[in-house]
Amino acid sequence: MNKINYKQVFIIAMYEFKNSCKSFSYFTSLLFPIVIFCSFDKYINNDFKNKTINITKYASQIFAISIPIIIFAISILYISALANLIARDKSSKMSEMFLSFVGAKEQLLGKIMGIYFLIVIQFIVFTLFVIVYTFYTNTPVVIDFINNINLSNLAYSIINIFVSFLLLFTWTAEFASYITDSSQTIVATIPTMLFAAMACIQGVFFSVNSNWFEAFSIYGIIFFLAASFPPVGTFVVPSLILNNVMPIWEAYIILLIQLIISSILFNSAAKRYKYGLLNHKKSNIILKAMNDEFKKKG
Amino acid sequence: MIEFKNVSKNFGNFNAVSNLSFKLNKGEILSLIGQNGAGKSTTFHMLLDFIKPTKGQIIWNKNLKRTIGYMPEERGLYPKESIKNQILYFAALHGMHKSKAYVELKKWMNKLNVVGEPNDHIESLSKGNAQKVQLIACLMFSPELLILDEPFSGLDPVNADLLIKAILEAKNNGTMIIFSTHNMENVEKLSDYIIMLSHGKTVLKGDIHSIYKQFGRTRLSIEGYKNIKLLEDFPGIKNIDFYKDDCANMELENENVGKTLFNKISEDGYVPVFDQHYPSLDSIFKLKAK
Ligand SMILES: Nc1ncnc2c1ncn2[C@@H]1O[C@H](COP(=O)(O)OP(=O)(O)O)[C@@H](O)[C@H]1O
Ligand SMILES: [Mg+2]
Repeated sequence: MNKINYKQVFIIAMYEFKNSCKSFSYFTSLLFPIVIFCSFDKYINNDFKNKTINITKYASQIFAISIPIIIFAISILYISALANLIARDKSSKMSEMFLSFVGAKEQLLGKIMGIYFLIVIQFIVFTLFVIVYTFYTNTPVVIDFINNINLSNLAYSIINIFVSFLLLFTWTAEFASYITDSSQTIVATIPTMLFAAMACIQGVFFSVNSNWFEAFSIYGIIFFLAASFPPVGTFVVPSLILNNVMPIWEAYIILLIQLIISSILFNSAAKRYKYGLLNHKKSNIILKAMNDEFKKKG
Repeated sequence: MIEFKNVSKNFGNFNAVSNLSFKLNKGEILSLIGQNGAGKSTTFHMLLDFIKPTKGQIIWNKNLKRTIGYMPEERGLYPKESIKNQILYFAALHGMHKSKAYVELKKWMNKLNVVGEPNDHIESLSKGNAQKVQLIACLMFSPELLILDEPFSGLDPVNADLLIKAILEAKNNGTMIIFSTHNMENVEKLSDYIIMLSHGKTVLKGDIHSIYKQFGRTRLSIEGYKNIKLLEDFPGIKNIDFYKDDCANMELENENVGKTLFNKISEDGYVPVFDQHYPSLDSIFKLKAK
């Protein structure tokens, strides 16, 4: 197996990051959550400020429910951004030439990293906004909220989001590599979106009631196995640690196993991605990507 | 040096390339000739390690870094990008320094006569100019091997000459070059070796001189001979084409027929044109492709 050329990965990531930063749609997606946040402003000011609702009691639960929702929201914003990058390469017919000096793995990882950078900027902008908001409106509710979430759980949740996207993005890229013209871009995002939507709903239900969990029961073990498969665990595990029913070391083991499985799957996905890039025949991209004909032919 | 040793490629049961062998040294140009679907692009894809041969070996000399400049049949660049940004991006991925790459870009834009400025957007360029920019992307980092898939398609004769010049310059710098074409015009000017493929099989192979020799000077043109119609039944002449009143092109069974014919014709007096030559690559190609 060839070693990955990380220098090329970084160059591609920076290129795609800079290009996307220039685009109008990125700013829309950057400001979109802020607009939603502002719409809750009234409730925050009236109810929380006057302490008619005790946020401290529910902070962990609210945060637990929001993890799968955050993952889904990011999917909506960035999965199509990734598919667009690949569609641009394919429809401008430059991917074959590009492949002659940048390997499929480097291309795939570079584009995913580029999108990760965008997400990081989104987090930073949103955090800055919340800080400014807190001081400007003198609303301690956000500080109260964060004070009531264990910092190591918060750190876990953030790492968890990025692990979740390694596989969600890889899948999207795999489908997108079969695009022959840009009108098919949206089709390439469907499988991943459907998965993310389903997993999000399950994650939300799960976090409402997670008290059944016991690490060393038979259900606990079955859960451990199921959640080790990425990105299933990333949607459900955070609620268990935030509700203090799963020890954090077990959560980290699940995360690590998911990361390892993701990177193994990444390798085989990179092969299909390469085959997709070389494929110029117009066809149903989902069927084409799922059927393993590249094994016979490649 | 690169060597293909009995390389075959099957797609399922379909045999796209079979038993292809050749060697290519520094500074040599090989042209792959063949109709659409002959297996030229598949050969390139194996050389680029996009796909693995079903059988046989592709051997690279150990001291090569395996840098390849590749211009595929499917041509294109990012339409919304400027020439400069596009080329500098590629250069960075090749590990080339920005300032050096920019100097190279300007040099090559000048040499290939690209109409436009480095800051122009790719989508504003004509097809031929965009193709030249893509060629610059292949040439500017001085690759060890240059692979050009149908490089002359879409170029007018003036630009084709510029391309030939650029290829010859790369050759003189020691680059190994392989290009494919189904158009014979430029093959003769460029190639050291020719391989002709038909349905994946090698039907002809060697340097141009020996290929011509193999066929001999079996083509004859005569002009200004008033008894030309008498040649219709002359022994050893095939496929004779008359034109005007006193001209004809014909094929000879072998070179020696020319000698007897010349002796006979000159008995009738002065004939301004008697041109006995090798068949054109074009006609060899058509003959072999059958
Ligand atoms: N990935 C593939 N799967 C199946 N058949 C292929 C594939 N690539 C090429 N072929 C077939 O192999 C033959 C040779 O193709 P190609 O090398 O592209 O020809 P050329 O470049 O000489 O026109 C064609 O008949 C083509 O249909
Ligand atoms: Mg071809």
